[in-house]
Amino acid sequence: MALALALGACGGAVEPGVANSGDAVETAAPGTLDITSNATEARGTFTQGDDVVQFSAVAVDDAFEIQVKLNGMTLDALLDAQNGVSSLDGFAAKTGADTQLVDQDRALVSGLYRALNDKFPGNQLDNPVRYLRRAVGLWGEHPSSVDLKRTVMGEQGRGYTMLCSYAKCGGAWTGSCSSYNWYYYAKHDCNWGGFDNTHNQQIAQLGDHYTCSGDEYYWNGKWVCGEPDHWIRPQVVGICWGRCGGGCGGDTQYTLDATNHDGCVRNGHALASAYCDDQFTAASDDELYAPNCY
Amino acid sequence: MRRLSRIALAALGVFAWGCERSSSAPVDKPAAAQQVVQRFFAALPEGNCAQLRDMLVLERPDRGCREVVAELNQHQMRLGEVLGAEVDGRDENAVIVRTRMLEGGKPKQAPVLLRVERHAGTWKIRL
Repeated sequence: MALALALGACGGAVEPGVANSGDAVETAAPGTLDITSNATEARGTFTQGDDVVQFSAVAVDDAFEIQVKLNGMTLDALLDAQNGVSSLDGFAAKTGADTQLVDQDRALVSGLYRALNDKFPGNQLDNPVRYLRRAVGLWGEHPSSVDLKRTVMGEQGRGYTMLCSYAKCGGAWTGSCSSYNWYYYAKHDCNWGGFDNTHNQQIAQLGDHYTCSGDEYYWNGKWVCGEPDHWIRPQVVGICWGRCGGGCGGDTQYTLDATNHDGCVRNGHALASAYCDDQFTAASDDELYAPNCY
Repeated sequence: MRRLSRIALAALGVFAWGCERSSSAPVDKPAAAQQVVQRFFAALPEGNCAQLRDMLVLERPDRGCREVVAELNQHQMRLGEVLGAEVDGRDENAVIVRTRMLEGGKPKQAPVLLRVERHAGTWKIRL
């Protein structure tokens, strides 16, 4: 069930096995983004080769209606940000019948996500663009094995827990680390065992601190580019470790569930792997509703 | 509005499906897809790729039958039950099979959707 993508969720993901070279890197977004936006709506298209994605995000009362159309599919979301409630769906555009996000869809949606990040690099955005980008980021990582129709509830302290302080190293959000600020432990459950199994845990420096263009781990007295695969509590850093969204998106949400999702997809499981479904589902409300750390 | 549009689309889809059924011999695609899922997971614990290979879509050179099967068995992924199946709304040669899976003997929290595709007349699971 490993449906690998070139770009990892919240960073690079590799196939199970030995550590990779750490060269999974977010490349510049190919394709053309045309977007118009204001305080109440955002609309536009993203063109990549022969593929065209149409998207819109419109404020309706206190919520946002988001729609993305691609490859004969409609993805939509109704986000009530004030109450932290959202209804997500995806279906065949012609018939309304159920469908799945497959690799080609995720590649296109991820392209749109990167284009939005390029166009809007910061997080001081009008809400329609903010929630459009968050929903697109979520769909870009959506495993085929998870139903597109679902409800996501988010509430700080219950739905999501912020880990902003662990994303700082030496008082800085970005740059190489001089004194680490370790988070104990990023956890997931899988064939190795449950959350308490030490093979399923990492000691992670969250945040945007790296020298490789991917992940790094500490081994034999030095930092090595790559990703350990179910080692016992390795020390790891990498591109935006613990951050919601693929790569280093414009939002800066470092949360517990996003950290655990990274602890799964950056620990020998591929990004869209069904083995990390539970972590993806748990991190969904974080991505949609958690505030930015900076 | 959004839900209404999906319901209206679905009604049109049923109508179109009915027309199609009346003009050609029906193939019970969901049943065929469910059957391959059940056969695959029944045979999975033995890990015999001679038996399992033909039930898998294998397109990546680094992910052959052995790798896929080994990973599933390492995770002790087993089929709990099939909850339902329906033809993918965008691809008449694909069926979405909704399952309850067990991982390491424990049921997964949410249903797992398996994609079963018809290749040269044979139904295969894309994992």
